[in-house]
Formats: sequence, C-alpha cells, structure tokens
Amino acid sequence: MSNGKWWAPRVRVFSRTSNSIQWRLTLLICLLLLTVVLAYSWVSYSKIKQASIDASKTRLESLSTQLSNIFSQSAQAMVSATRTAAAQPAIKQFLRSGGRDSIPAVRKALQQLLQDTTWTLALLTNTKGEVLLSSDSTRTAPSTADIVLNLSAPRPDTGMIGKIYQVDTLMYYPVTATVFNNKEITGYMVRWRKMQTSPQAVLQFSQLLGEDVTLLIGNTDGSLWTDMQKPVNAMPADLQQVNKELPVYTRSDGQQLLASIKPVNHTRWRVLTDRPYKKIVAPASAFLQMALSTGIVIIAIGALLAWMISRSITGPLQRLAIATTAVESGNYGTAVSVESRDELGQLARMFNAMTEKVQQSQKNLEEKVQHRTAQLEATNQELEAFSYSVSHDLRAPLRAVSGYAMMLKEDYTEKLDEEGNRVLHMIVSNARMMGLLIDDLITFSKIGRRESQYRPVDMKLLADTCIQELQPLKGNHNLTIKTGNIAPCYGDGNLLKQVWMNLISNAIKYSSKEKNPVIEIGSRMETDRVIYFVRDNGVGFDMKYSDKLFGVFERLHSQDEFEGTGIGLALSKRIIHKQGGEIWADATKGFGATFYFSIPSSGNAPNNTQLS
Amino acid sequence: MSHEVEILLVEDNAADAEMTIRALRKAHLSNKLIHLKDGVEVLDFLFGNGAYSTRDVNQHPRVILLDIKMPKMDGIEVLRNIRANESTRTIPVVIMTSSNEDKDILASYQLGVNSYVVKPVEFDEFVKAVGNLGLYWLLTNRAVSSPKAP
Repeated sequence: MSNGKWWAPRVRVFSRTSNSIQWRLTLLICLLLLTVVLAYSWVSYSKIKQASIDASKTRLESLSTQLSNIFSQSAQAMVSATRTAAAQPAIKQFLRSGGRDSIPAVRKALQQLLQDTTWTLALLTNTKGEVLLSSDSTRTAPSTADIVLNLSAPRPDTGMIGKIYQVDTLMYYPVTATVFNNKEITGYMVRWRKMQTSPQAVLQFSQLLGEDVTLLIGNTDGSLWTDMQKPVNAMPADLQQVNKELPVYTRSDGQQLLASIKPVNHTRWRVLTDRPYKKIVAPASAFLQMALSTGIVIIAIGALLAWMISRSITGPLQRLAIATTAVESGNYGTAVSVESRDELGQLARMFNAMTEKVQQSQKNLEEKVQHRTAQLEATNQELEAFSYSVSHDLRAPLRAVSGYAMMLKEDYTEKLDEEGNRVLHMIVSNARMMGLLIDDLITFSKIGRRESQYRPVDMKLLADTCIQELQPLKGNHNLTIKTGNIAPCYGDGNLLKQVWMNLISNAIKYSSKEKNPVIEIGSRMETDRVIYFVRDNGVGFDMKYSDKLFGVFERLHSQDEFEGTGIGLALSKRIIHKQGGEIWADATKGFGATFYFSIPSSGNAPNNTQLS
Repeated sequence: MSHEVEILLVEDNAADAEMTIRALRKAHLSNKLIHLKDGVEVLDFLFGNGAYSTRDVNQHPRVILLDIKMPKMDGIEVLRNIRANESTRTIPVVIMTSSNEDKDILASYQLGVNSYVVKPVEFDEFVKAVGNLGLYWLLTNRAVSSPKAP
C-alpha cells in the first residue's frame, strides 16, 4: 500500500474522495458522537444549573428568615425596654399634666435612659408628636411627628422601631413607645440610637452568611439601604417592593444577583441577602467546560476508530473496484486478496471465482470465434478458388470448342452440307451462350465477396448516366423515359449503378414491342428509407410467378421472345440486400411492370460485410 | 531493324496456342514467333540457360504474350523475373489470359505489364483481339532498341 502503484488507480476509482464510504462513515460516526456529547452536556449543565440555583434560593431564603428573626428579637427587646421606661410614674405624671411640672426630675429620668454612647437622645412628645421634653435640648432630631404617626396608625398600643435616618455619614433609628393614662394615650417616648456594628458582630455575620453572600438592611419604603456600617448606593427600583420572591436583579454596578428579602417584625426595616448569579452557576459552567473538552477527546478518538474501521471496509472494496476496472479493460489476471472471513472476504472470493469464469468463457469464446473465422476463411478461399477455376479453366475449353468449330467452318464450309453448317452454327452459338452464363455467374459470385464502399450517392445522376449508356438499346423505338424526383441515398455507387442498369435495360427490353413505350423513374421518401421505382408499360408478367423473378437464371420469357441469361434481377436483389434494402415488383400481364427497391436512410446503412 | 524473334508466345494450352498462332498468321505476323509452354522455359530462353545456353541473350523478342495459369511457374512470376532483371526490363509484356480476376489484373499492372487482355470466349472476337494486339505491338508501338541491334 505504501508504493505509488497503489495510489494511482485509487485516485482514478474514487476521484471524488468526499463521496467515498470511508469519509462518509467517519463523518457519520463523528456527527453521532457530537450529538451525544452536546445533548449530554447540555442536559447535565441545565440540571446542575437548576440545582445550584435551587440550593442558593433555599439558602438565601433561610438566611434572610434567620436574620429577620434575629433582628426582630433584638427590636422587640429594645421596644419593651422603652415601654418599661415610659411606664415610670414621673413620666406618666409629666405627660398627664401636659408637660408643665417636675421637669428636672423627668429630664433626669430621660438622661438615665441613655445607657451608652450608642443611645444619643431621648424625647417625650405629646400625642401630635410635638416634643415636650428632650434629654439634651442642644441636640436636634428628625421630625418626630411622622415617626409617631407611623407608630400610632397600625397598632396604637405597641411600640416600634422606625425608619433609619442618615445624618452626615452616621445612621440613627428611633425606638418608640406609647405612654398611657388609663388606656388613654397621653404621649410618646422616642429614644434615638446610632447604628453601630462591632467588628465582632461583622465577623459573626460574615461567618453566618458565608462566601459571596451580602447582607443588607433597608427601610420598607426603600429610602435607605445599609450594610450596617454605611449606607450603600441606590438599589434597583424593582427591589423597592417587598415580597418579590427571590428576584434576580441587576445591581447598579452591572452585576446580576439572586436575592431574598424578608421584613423585620417590630420595625420599619427589611433584610436582604443576595449572591452573584455568576457564582451560583459557576459549578455548572465549569462542568459544561469539562464535559465539552471530554467530548472533544471522545470525538477525536471516535473519528480515529471510525476511520480505521471504515478503512478496513473500504480497503477491500477499493481493491475490488481496481480489480473490476482491470477486468473491464480486459486484464483478467487481477485476483483480489482479502483475507478477512467476513462478508467482504466472501465477496472478494466470489469476485475472484467470477473473474476466473469470465476469463474462461472469454477464452472459450475467442477460441470458438477463431475457429469459426478460420472455417469461414477456408470456405471463402475455397469459393475464391472455385470462382477462379470457373473463370479460367471453364472458359478455356469453351473457347477451344468455339474456336475449333469456327476453324472447321472457315476451312471446311464448302465440304459440309447445309445441315452440317447448321450444326456447326448451333455449336458456336451455344458455346457463346455458355460463355455469357459463365461471365454472369462470376459477376454474381463477385458481388458477395466485394467490399462495399458506402458513400452519399446522387441517384438522379446515376439513373441519368444509365439512360445515356443504354441509348443504343432503344433502337428505333418511339421510347419516352420520364425521370421524376430521384432522392440521393447512402450506399455503394458502383453496385447501385448495376441495379439501375438492370432495371432500366429490362424496362426498355420488355416494353420494346409496344407502340408507344413509356418508362417512368422516380423515388419517394419514407421515415427510415427511400423507395426507388422503374415503371414500364411493356408486356408485364403474371404475379403468380413473381417469386421466381429474382432467382438466378430464372426467366419468365423465352429466349426467342426476349434475350437474356436471367441473372440481372438476381444480381440486383443481391446488391440491394447487401445494402440493407428490399427489392420487389408489381405487374399485370400485358399491362407493364413496376420494379421497386428501397435503401435505408443514412445511419441505417449496414456495416461493410464481405460475405452476404 | 530486324529481330531474331518478334513474338514470344507463352501458353500451356495447346488449343489456345493454336488459335493464337492462327490469328497472328491471318494478320501475317507469325513469321518470327516462338511458342514456349511454361514459365521456366521462358526464363531459360531469355537468360540463356539450360537448352538455350547457346542463344544470344541480347536478342530480345519485340513482345511477349504471356498466359497466367501455367505449370511450374505462373505468368505473374515470369513477369516479376523479367521486370527484376536489368537486361529484360524493357521488353513489352502483354498478359493474355482467361482470368478476369481483379487481383490478377492488379498484380500484373503493379509489376509493370504493358497490357492485360482477357481472351474472349468467342472465336471471332478472339481472332480480332489477337490480330489487333499483334499489329499494335509489332507495327504501331515503338520499343526500346536492343543493345546490339544491327
């Protein structure tokens, strides 16, 4: 296979390699593998992705719930502490009196509520939220009216933690409690606390949240979001609404995140935990990459194996194809060697057996053809020898008979009586007749052996030439020859001229006893042949004997009536048949005869044949 | 110019020979005629071999009338020998034969025959043909002179 000989015919047999089975099989297997790899990778990727998202959802959900609970508990504790403080008799008395008496004692009580530095201010307001007394009159605070209104609206009997407010870089939130006097609201206590988270708490939170998860706390109206150390930039608008279940949102920095939001009880806050979407699907993406690269390796191995397998199939097929081409060009020596025991091996063995048989048959056939050809050649040679000896050996003694009779006549006429001279004359005329018969017979046999020269023939010109050459035959007769349209044909001009000569001379001969002899010559076209005719108004013949018309030396008239050897029509028939045509006649005794012959249109002309 | 032999008739058939001679005699052309019966004899005569070893080979006949079908050596072979030899190449040769075969005619002309005559079966025509032939070749035709013509 490594030598150049193997490749050369291969290129010839499979000139379009892209069509070869070897390529197509490999391609098919690669496509199959590719489909499997892609389908498997995609399905797995989708499942892993969904599972990751689901896990993240659950985790975020649980985190925000937990955190919400923690913050709620803390808020409740602060609120109940404030309520306890607000229930002191001095404070109650102060508000019942409308804030006019015991100011110093009440202020002292308020200042005692500022337990550490995170508590910055404590206030008492009337029911409208107007500040009656402050723990530190020098400090200002956001308007307490809306805080109080917010508080009193839903549940007047409870306390609550209000919205987070930003003052410079610091954040504060109010803890509010209602002050009663026999179930009648007399005012409110508001304690402001700075939002401050210790590093320890931050660490705890981050441990609880884990990597990638961010915790944010914000007001329910969306006015502020913070990571509990500083306010963070504006969140997307769709997150301003609570209860939107685990939305995926795009943060202002362009990052996509999965988020969970929960409200915090006893406050106007809510908790948000989020995690970058990319991080969630990262395992799925990593898996997809791995699956695809594994797939590529599998496809490559598959392609290699497919190539090897298909080669083991197409290799023998190619050898078969080469051998078939060789057989086609006549080289039967090419046996195909396929050792495999599979179908291909069987095919190759059958092919070899078939080739052998074909070769044997061809050999037998060739031998037969050679044998027959030799026989034919021998027969042909015998015929030629026969014809030669007829032409030479038969004529010599005939000439002698004729010659010596004439010598006798010349030298001994006076010594012979009338009867003797008549007998001599009969000898001479019969010898002459025999000479004519021999000549005709030789001509007849020569037609068959002659190799025809097929060319376009101007039949009109040929017929006219014959009429011209036959002029002497016309004698003194009042003969009219009408030539109509005579179509050209494809054939052997010399032989066709003999046909015209025979038919026209016959027409002249057999109409010679008419008063006004008329001969018509013409042709008509048919789909695949041309029909020529020669018509005379002569003696005609009985159609009963028409089958004898074209036989050798057959005559329908006696030698006394019309001279002739009876070879002309037989010769014409042989010539026309040799050119693939037909010859026939139509006549009525006493009313003339018409002779027809057909020549196939060019293309239907027979091959040159030496023997007919 | 005078020739030892004017007509060399080569004919194995006695009847044809007799008729030919009779026809030539009628035309008064048979005075210097030699009749030979086969090809070998012709070559012996022309090249002075065998029985003709004493003959002056430079004396050429004015015309050779040659039959084709003969025993030992046929007319075509005789013609080939005559045309192959420098000294006899220019002698006029007329094939007279019963054969009307195309291959004989072709072979004869290819070997440079001067005339090819098919003997007519009819005696009248035969006599006429031979007479015309003799007259043409002996009286009308001007041949190459023999080297030692007196």
